[in-house]
Amino acid sequence: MIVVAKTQYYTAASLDGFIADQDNSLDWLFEVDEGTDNPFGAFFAGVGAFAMGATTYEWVLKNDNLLEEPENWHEMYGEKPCWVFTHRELALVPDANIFMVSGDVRRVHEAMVVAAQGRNVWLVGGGDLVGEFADQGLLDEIIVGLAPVTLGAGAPLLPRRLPAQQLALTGVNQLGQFAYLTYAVGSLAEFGRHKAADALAAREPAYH
Amino acid sequence: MTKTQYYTATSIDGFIADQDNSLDWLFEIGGGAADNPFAEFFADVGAFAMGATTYEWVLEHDQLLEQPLKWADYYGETSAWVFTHRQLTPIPGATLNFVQGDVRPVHDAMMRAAAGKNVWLVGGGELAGAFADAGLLDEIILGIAPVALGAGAPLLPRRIGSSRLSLEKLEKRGEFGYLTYRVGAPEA
Repeated sequence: MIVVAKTQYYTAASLDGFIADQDNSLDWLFEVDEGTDNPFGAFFAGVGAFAMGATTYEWVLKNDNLLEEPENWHEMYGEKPCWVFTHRELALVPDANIFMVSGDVRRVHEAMVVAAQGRNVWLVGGGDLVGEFADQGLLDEIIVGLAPVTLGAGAPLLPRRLPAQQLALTGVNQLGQFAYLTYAVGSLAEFGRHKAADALAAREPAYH
Repeated sequence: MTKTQYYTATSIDGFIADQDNSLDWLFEIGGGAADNPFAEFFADVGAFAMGATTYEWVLEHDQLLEQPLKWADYYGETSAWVFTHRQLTPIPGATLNFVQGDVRPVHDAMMRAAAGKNVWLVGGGELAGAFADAGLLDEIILGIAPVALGAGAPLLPRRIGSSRLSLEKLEKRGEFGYLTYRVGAPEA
């Protein structure tokens, strides 16, 4: 079958739909038992380009001490190109393949798809950036790893209204204490739930 | 062993009702009754509780004042507790206890009434949170609908860390992902 690259929102979240707590911390997440088989490596192997918002970028910058240890970026992401959506001036990770952009996600998405060369486009977050892609019909899949945590408040997973016609649950998988749920989004969900499930199942799985 | 369970449907982003307090987004989801584990769940329930907003929603949505027998169709003779600070209209013929305040004595009464069966917390999130605060919540069962709402009534407006929650079961039933968590005692 023809494998078409997807634009994917892959993220961890609390049970109540937050990707970071009120202090913009992920400490609640790193305490969770992820089992022996974190699916991120297999997922990221299928990614050819990725994008994040300014808040997410600044969090990574600080959490991984990237200005002092820029090699950490390369260890995590290699040479894969990353787009950062920002209206502010942000510090650049030395020698990292990062593009600072702002404005319409459509134009950036086109560039990302070209750069991805047939691989997938990963939207790291935050929720609002992903929402902008969804608004433009550019989001194909959501893979959310739900942590056994409720936060009560924080940064929202996806601050949009997406009805059931636009989302189809294509898979569930428990790894350690994480519940991974995979959804086909938009046209992929609309063209037929069963077909969408079949099509996704026939792909190289994001995890095993 | 009797468990106190918060069993609810929710959106992916953690809302149990939308901003207009509607569940239309939930009911439009396809899937046969065969996929829905509620009947199996409710068969083990001996008492249940809900907040005033949930009660009023059920009352209105199911037109229970006009058709009170529907309550018995759903819930049989199982006793229900409604937490409210307001005067609410009772449903004729339904076994309802209107209560307020501390959840602990109510939970005791519910346990007695349940006579070895489980106690179901219908919602909303704040009521389930009050039980969790008191260390009276044993299990959370979520049916996650393939919907994002962006805003609405929160699933569980509390901070409960992974030391208290453990994923016991995950299954796909039709369009829903069902997640079962065991809930531990609050940290002292």
